[in-house]
Amino acid sequence: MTSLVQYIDLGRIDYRQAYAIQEKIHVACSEKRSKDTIIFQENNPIFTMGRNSAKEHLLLPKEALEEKGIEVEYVDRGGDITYHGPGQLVISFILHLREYNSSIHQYVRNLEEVVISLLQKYDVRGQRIGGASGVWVGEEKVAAIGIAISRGITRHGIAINIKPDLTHYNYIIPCGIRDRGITSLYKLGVDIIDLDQFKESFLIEFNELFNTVTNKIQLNEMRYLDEY
Amino acid sequence: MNIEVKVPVFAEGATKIKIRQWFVGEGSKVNAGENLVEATTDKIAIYIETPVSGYLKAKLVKEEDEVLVDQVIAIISQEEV
Repeated sequence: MTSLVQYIDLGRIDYRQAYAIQEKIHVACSEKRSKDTIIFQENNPIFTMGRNSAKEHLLLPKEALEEKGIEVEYVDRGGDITYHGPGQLVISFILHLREYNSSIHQYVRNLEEVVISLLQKYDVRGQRIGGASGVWVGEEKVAAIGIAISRGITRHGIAINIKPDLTHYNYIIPCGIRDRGITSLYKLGVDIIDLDQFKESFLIEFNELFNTVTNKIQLNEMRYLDEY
Repeated sequence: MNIEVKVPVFAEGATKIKIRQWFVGEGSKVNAGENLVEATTDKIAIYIETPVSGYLKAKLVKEEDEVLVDQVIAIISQEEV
């Protein structure tokens, strides 16, 4: 059966503000007041530490990073430390997992598959690497994945490097992986001029794999969020 | 009446599910849907809630233990313990 999923585009937004919105939608979803939702966003520079983060994977003191304009935040997703910033598309998914006949493991694989299919449209050959999640091109990661699930509903999702400042990754051991690098579509020779079209392309691939239809709504249409 | 809390079936396929943190202590009152414990795999944080209101009678696993899908990890008593 096809499921209806709504999506919102928060544009460039502070990570914590976007996080609060995600949490509210998650609660509304668990109370059946909101449809399953996909959130697009681009964040100001921030390192987020997942539940498996090792402090030594942050290579500079928090204060030194803040002087460079990069914040540090602990978050409740799985995974280790990662970077978010301008030029990176973060896509979060608030989905009732069982509606998609999926185990959490298969869900992560499906998200990777959506990204791999999307990259193919841009003649980029993304792939999985055994023992590591995310989507890689050669030995470099182009999309990272970190997920949380509570009450059977997912949160967080994937971050695709479009054209971020890759030097910011020099301040961390991304995802705790020392021997592999980070890349972006721009570094791979693909300059995404129209980000909206890129998001549309993402949704086409997502809809196909998850058997969904998506419709866009505005944040101010979700008035029930004000009650949380 | 005692109710078992299990590692959810949706975690199937995930390997090395580790108990990360208990949010409530034994004897504590809990409400249906409340998160009891967090488990993690390498990329996924799984929050496991109590299916019913009652009291956390027993934790059957401790932090850092590895658990399996469908494993009973806690007992909720519907009578005060």
